[in-house]
Amino acid sequence: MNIKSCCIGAALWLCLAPALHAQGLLGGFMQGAGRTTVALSYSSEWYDKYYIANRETTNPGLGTISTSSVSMYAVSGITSWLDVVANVPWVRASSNAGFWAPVGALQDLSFALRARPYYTTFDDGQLDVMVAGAVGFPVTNYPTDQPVTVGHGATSIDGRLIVQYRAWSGPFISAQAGYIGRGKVSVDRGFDVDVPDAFEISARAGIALTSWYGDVWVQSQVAQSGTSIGPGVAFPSNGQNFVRVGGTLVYNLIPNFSLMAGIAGTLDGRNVGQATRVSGGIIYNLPVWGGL
Amino acid sequence: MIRLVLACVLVVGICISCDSPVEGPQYGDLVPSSTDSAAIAWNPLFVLSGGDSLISAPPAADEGISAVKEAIANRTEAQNKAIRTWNTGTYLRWNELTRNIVARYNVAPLAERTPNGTFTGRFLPDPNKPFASPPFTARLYALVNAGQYDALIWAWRLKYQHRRPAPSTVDPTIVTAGPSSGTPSYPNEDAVVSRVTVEIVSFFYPGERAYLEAQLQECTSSRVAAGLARPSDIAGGDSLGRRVAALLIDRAKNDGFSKADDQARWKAVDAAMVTTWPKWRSTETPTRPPMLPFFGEVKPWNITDAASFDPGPPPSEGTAVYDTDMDEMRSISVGRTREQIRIANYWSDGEGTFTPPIHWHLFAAERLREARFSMIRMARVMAYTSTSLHDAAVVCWYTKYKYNTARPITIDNVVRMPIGLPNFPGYSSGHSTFSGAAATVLGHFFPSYSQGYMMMAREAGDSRVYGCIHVRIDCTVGLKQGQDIGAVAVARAVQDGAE
Repeated sequence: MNIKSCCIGAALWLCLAPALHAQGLLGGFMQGAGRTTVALSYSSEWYDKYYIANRETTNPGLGTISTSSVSMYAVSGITSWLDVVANVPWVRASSNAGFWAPVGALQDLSFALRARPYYTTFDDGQLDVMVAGAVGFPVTNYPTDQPVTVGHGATSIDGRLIVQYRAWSGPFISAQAGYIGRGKVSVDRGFDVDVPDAFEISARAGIALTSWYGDVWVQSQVAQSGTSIGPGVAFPSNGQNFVRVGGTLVYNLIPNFSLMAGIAGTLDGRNVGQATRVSGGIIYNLPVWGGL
Repeated sequence: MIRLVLACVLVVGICISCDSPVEGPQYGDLVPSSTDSAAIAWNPLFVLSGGDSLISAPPAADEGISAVKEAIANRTEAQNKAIRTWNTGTYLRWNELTRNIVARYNVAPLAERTPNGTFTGRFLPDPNKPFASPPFTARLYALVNAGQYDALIWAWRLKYQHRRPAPSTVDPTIVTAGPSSGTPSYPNEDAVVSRVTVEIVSFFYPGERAYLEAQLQECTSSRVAAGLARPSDIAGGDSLGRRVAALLIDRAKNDGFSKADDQARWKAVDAAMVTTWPKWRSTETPTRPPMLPFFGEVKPWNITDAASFDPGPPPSEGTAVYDTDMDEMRSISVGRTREQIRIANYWSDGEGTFTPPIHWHLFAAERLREARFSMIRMARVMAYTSTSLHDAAVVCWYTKYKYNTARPITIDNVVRMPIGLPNFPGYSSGHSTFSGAAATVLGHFFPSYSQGYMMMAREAGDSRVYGCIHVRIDCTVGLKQGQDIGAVAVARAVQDGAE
């Protein structure tokens, strides 16, 4: 077992999943039949500027909003072409001005299936075409309609197409497009609101070697509907767009045990924080169970 | 093959996740259970005399029948839709439209900044878009609902004075497309209540007049197209509504509100005030002057003056009540339960909403629709409720600025809140005072809900404790003030000839 086949999926999930939306991207590396990886990560995200619609804003009554999360993650290759993934984060959000109460809660439990219906090999590499579907739902009744919160509280369904080419020598490039459907959420104010669906595209390039992995990526999400932040507007109904960039580094410290680090930043957005995030984690490969 | 099937399943998962549009409550036609013809003997709240001379007598009964038949024959799909919309209850719909408007203006004036973003020290209120704060909105609704009620009393008197038959009575071939009030048709009550609302709301928000006039046009023309009223019935109602609204607007111009935001005077009062408790200070950045420091001097509706409801001073610093209340704030700040957060959020009604006093209008509207009251009886319930809410605002603001107490966060900055903090002194709680008044009045009109309303009023007060917006004494005192204010409105109601 090497880092290419197991740890990368864990690293990508942990680095790319926005803290407020535990369901993030799946990478383009299949896990491999019978191979299981678990990971524990910590991430810290913060912003003092945010976008009201597209207008960049600071709010001295909120100051800097910080979000910390600890995630438990597991991925297992059911077959060589089918992976199952699970993730659940505990998230804490706070602000450093305005006397707002911090909020901490176990956030959304996510399950995903990633299938590779097609691949082909070349002399110098391999092309994979994958589809993935995921469902995420809140596991606690955390408050959703306040400036300092840990999530929007909606059940979501995510479907995406992933295409990746990787050279045997290590370099790879991948792209994916997906649609995230989200349901209604009941806000404390006593009514239900729709949480907007979103379309998402991303691209990634990097190197995956036996002992280490590194990548850079860009991700864009566009809400398909929604309100803008404003007085009296329920926050979960806001249409959130963003363009984020980041990078990931995974180092195989000892056999079956790797360390991960990631960084991400927000280039542009709509009704989101202009957030910066750093993350780190440990990744462990369980004994191979054989697969189906 | 299995891979392809799975891929299809995953893709289908995308499609079934698409949002469905939000749909609000769907109401059917509101058919009043009574004509309330005896309302001719009810006492108005403000326009006590002369209402019967505000408009002239109607034309002959057969006048306008051909116009009604023509309107029915030429009904468009848009008019059919408008008929269905306004059949759900003209009175309740106008109050709902007003709620939507005040919510849009419930935004504190912006801080003035230089091009490089530095605060100039001034805020920028727009006189044509006044801040629909809780006291402001309570006052607006009192004027609107009292105006609607008084105008309808005079409309009822005129109806039974002239006894003009409905179009379908004069010409039985006219098939109506909506519920009739069962009252004589001149002046038309839908036009009365529409015009009163448009004039008074436009007085406060002139920028909304075009929208409101369009709504009025839709409402009144739908009544003609539904065969329920002649154009002359509408014109009579419009004229009566306009004249009554003018009297209410004249009251508004002279009720003392123009002096309620005298910040220079407040600065002097505040500087001279010596207290045995920490004084209020704005916690906003930049610091904002307090909201309407002299609203306590605005003319009330049912009570004679605010001072009669003075609860006495709050606990001094170092007393047992003071310390116990602050201990509760510290305890809640670190151990607030999810249910306490929900309650705090539910009642918060901060910026962008129709404000805490008007939250009670939702409960009232629910009961009024269920009871299928006549329009004039609905107006009576809302007139007493809203004027009592106005009085609650007067008394509460009087108390707040007489005693000028600090918010919990100013006393101890370990306090943390899940909701926004209003920019005015604490003692007594506005939520509690408003809710005590509304629960008392609505409990009188709907006795089977009385106990429930009072429980809700207590929860509204608790919500401010859970939010660490108020210490508990603010809420217990406010609730009592509200109950006493509501009782005055009820005492007036039981003598107005309607019970």
